[in-house]
Amino acid sequence: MSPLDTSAFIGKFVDEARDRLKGLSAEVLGLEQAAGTDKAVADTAIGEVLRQAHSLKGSALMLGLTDISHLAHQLEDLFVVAKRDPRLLDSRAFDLVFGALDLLSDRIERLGRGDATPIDAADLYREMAALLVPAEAAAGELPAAAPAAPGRAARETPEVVSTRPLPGLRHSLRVPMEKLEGLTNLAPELVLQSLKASERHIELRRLETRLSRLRDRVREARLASGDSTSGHAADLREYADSLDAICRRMRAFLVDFSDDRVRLNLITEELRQNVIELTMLPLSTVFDAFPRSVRDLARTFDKEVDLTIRGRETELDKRIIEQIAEPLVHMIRNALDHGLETPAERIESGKPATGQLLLSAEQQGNRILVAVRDDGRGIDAGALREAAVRCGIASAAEMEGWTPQQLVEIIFQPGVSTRSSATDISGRGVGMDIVKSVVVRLGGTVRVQSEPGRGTTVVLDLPLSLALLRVVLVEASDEIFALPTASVRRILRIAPIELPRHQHATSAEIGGESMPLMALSALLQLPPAAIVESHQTVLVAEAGDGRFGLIVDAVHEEQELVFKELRGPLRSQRTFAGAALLGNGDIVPILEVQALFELAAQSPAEPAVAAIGPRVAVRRCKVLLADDSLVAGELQKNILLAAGYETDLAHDGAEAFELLHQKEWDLLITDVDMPHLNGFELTARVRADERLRDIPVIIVTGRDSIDDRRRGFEVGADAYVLKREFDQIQLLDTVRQLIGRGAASNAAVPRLPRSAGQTTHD
Amino acid sequence: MAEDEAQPPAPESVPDEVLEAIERQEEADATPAPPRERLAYLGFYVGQEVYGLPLGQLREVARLTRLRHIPGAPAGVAGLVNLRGEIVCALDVRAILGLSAQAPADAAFLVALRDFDDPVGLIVDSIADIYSIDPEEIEPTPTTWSPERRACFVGTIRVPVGTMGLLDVHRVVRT
Repeated sequence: MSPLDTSAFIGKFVDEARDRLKGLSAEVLGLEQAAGTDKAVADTAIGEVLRQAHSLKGSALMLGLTDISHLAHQLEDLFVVAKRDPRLLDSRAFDLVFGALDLLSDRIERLGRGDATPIDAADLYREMAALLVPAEAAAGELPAAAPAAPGRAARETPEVVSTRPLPGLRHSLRVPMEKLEGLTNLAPELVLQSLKASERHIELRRLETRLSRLRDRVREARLASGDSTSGHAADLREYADSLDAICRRMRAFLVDFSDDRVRLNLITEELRQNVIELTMLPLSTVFDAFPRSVRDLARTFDKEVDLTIRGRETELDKRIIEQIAEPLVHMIRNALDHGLETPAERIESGKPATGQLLLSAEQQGNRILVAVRDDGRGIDAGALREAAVRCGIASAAEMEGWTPQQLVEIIFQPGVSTRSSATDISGRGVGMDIVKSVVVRLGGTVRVQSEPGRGTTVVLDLPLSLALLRVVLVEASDEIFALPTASVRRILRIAPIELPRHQHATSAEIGGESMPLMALSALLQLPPAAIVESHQTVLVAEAGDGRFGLIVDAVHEEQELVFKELRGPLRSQRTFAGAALLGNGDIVPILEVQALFELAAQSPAEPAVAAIGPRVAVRRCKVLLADDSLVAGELQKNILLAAGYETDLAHDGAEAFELLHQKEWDLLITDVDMPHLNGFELTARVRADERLRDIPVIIVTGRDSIDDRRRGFEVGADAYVLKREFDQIQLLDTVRQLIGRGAASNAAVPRLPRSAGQTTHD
Repeated sequence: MAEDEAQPPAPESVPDEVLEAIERQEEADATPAPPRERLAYLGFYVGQEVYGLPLGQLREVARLTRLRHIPGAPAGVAGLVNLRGEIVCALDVRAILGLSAQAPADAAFLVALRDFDDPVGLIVDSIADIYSIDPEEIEPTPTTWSPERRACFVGTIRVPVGTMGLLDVHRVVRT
């Protein structure tokens, strides 16, 4: 048999060994915490340590990495003895074990980089031997045990292995990152293409309507020509018949095409989700390093701490995971160094000596919230003030009127530390500004909450994926701009404000908070659009340094776009972070929120802008909502109102059907599960009703099974939108596709006619 | 609404010979040209004047469609153009050369340039012709021009339609 070429297995071994070392580290930590308390827990943990160490030893041996297998073997020996005599595991023993694990980790990482220098663990071996000698002697006192040589003991371990099945064994394939990146770039393109197909479908429907109108006219002409058998009348008959046939085929084709489109959309969306998930990793890849480092840091700072980790199985984009490790280290160090008090201080202030540290992750829609919470002393506002003055960020007088939140934000300024003495790990005045810059670069935000004496929580609000940027499309002076969704806090409608003529910005109180307010068109020096109706739409956006209100002419849908940086000759401008292509091929510039905020905050004197234009009365599209959930209904209502539609809310299907008859409506949006008349039945009734059958219907529901969707389209819905937060914004997109924009733009787009009877043609 | 919407008039397309010449030049790029050979230049109009660029610096010539204005952009930047899925920064040659401001002609063209890290193109009014030029015949720019204007050119040359200013693209893109 030819010798095995082991080099091909090194990568796999490195991956495997990393996992095993992580597992080992976690078990040993657990063991240290449980030391002397629960024999059963300790036994289980030791069993697991033995299993992991043994497997590591086996793999290393197969690849000829004898230094690794030897050290793993030593660990095994130590724990075999410890299994019989737990007293062996004192703090000196744990330090040795952690030392050994560090050496192994280091060796594995070097191996991963192609450096095959073996471990030099001579000192460690000596200490381990010294540790084992008295223990061996002690073990020897037990009647049944002969003075055991380490090697003998090790032979017992295969039993341990064989009795435990490998947990969660999964088949996996290593794929080069570039291949995945190619796929992640293609997926959004496919989504765009599928959107285009949807637009073509609408166009096709329009053509079909025209065709049937033409058929009707030819029919009329044919009837008018009577039964004459002249060549002309015969021609007309022939034309009418073939037009009829074409219309029927066209209609059948449209039905098929609509089915295809629905299926294509479903598949595309699923594919996109799957592709995004391909590049996602569980947060455990970062989180699992913390039990160990928290233990070490607690020792350094003389703190006692219990670390709780939640949500380690939460998955997010690999590129985000890779970059948040460093910010998290800063946050944890801060919590241990600045946040938590020493045991003595804690007891003095009536707290348990052991501090609590919580590291958690949870998914909210398409965001991931990663939080570090401690129950320490909280951020000292007085010290922050002093630090701010010391670093020249603000004067004491300036800070008089600051809210606690504003004060806390000081910690994000470069160079601020509330500790007067620098430790070797934190307090050097770097940290939170790095945290913030990394998170902002990833399209996220950082929030800090602190209560004196009770503790501090730092929350990183991160996007799930970097492949696409989620933006809100807004309109100003008939042009579309995009604002990253992450920075939009609220969208609300206010009574029109006459902005001071000579300034970009004024100050307004929005939601009880005073903030700069400005019109996007004025800021971009675009001609102001005529004010329509009696309200203005304001977006409350959050920049790094504060919030501000942005008056826009309309808010359109939210979209995910492929972000392109603006470089070349446009690199020097700061108003826009980038640009992206919309589904229709239009280019939309993406606003840089921080730059807007700075402009708003400066509010420089400006030459007087032209007087605000005359009010134009425009008929607004009317949308009827049917939803028995008040929350869901009101939420949708607000979304539509903000986008410039007129809406009314019916609380069940029967009420909706009644309202539909009372007024003229342009669109019905209905939930499925409602009392009296459910959404499917309502849609079917609308379609069967001579007067209502042409009103487009959107079904908005939590039911996401294919069967439900099929049912929705079967009863005649034009679109099917899921209630999950992720899809809710799709609603506006769908509404716009069906009936055009709200009235906030100067010309209301007429809705597409469903049949010839609806609109006159000229 | 008219029963049949009138189709927009067929776009005044780029002369085939221009496209062919660009293709030929792309092929020629593979083999270095022997010295003293005549060079092919694309001549185009901006206003009344004709300007030229070596074909080797061109990526393609396309009709200018749907120019997206970028508020607050430098004066020389007309906006962004979607060139088959790629976002190209379109430069306003008129503004850069200090010609009288005027909206681009209806049938304006985008001359997309090569060899820039970020896609960039020039907006021109119309395409004149491809000229074969002997580098020896290139003359310095007239001293009557302003220094800023002279800086944007490598020289001038006589062509049948007048004196063609030969643009220094790197300079033009940088300003």
